[in-house]
Amino acid sequence: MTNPGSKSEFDRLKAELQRLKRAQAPWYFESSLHQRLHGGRRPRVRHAPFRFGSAITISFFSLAVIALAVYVVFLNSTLFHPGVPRQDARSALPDSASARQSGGAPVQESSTTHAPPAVRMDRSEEAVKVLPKQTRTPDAESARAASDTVVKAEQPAPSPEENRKVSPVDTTAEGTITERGDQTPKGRPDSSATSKPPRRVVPDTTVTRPHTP
Amino acid sequence: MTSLTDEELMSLFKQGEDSWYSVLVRRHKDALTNFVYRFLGDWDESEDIVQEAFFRVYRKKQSFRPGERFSTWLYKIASNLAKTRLRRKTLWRFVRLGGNSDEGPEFDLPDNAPGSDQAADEAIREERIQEALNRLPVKFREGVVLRDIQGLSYEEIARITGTTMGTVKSRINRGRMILRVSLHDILTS
Repeated sequence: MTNPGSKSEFDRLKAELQRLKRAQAPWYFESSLHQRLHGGRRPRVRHAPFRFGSAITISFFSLAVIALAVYVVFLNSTLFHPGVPRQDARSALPDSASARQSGGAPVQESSTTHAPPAVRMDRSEEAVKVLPKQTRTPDAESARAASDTVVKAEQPAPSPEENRKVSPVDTTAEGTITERGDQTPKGRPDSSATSKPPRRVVPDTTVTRPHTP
Repeated sequence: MTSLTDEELMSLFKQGEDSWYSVLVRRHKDALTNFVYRFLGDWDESEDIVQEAFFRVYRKKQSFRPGERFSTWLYKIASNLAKTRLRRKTLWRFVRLGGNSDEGPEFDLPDNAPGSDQAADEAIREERIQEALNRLPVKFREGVVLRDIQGLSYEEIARITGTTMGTVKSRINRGRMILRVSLHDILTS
């Protein structure tokens, strides 16, 4: 093994270092320095630690990917059917209701399909529209007639103002003429306005003459 | 070239005679380029730094004190600039994208001139020594280059590095030991 501290090796190293080729300044060094001193121009920089080209390229590709993603998302939406209402655009698509109307087998909807609430409401309305007439039975007709009578019976009762126009005065059961507001005692519902129409009460005109001896 | 010393030229230059500045540049440009190149191991960087050093000499000429050696002052400026550039280079190495691709492509051209084998051996030898220098710690490298390549005295090196002579000698010896180990095959062949 060679002794690292040997004299010959040390001298050899010094000789190798001194024999290194002496670097010289380039021929344009002085002119370049003079130009900088009097022209104020910075020397050329060959090293570019931060490369703007790479940054611009990365930014461009990022924007391109984002733009492509946005385009794909909006491609599937109804925004790409200008001038066509949403209902018409959807009715053009085959669904279970239209398939049933045309006599074909109903399309089985997948349980994993999640439709938005608005779409479900539209489909129910559509289903009502396309419901065939033969499904309306006589029982349904009678039920509709019954409901019409109920609606007629529930007409609004005449208001107290109207009642006052008809009969400004009223009598009590004892025949004493009083104001209408005092006709019924407190706490008792005024059922005369709704149960039966107001009666025109004729005052008792028979005068009992005093018995003269 | 004039027989005036560097300090006399600098004194004249400080009085406003700019023509003496060119004489100083011509005297020291090659030695300073060699020092910075061996210290950094990068030709383009060394060219920029030497120009920056002379530019600062021109701009800060009034800060040169009488009694000071011009070469020491000039080496000190260049050494500080080179160290700053080394630190920045080390920092950018972690930040930079794409590795060290800003270097130009390498071309291997065949050389059929007589004596090309010997020249190629010399070039390979020099390249290996420069690589060993580049692997040295900065403090050791600075002392070895200034002493063994530039031939400055220990006293001058101590002034340039701002340390004592004992520290300079210690650093140079430790740098030489590391170099001897890394260049063992070249030194024993």
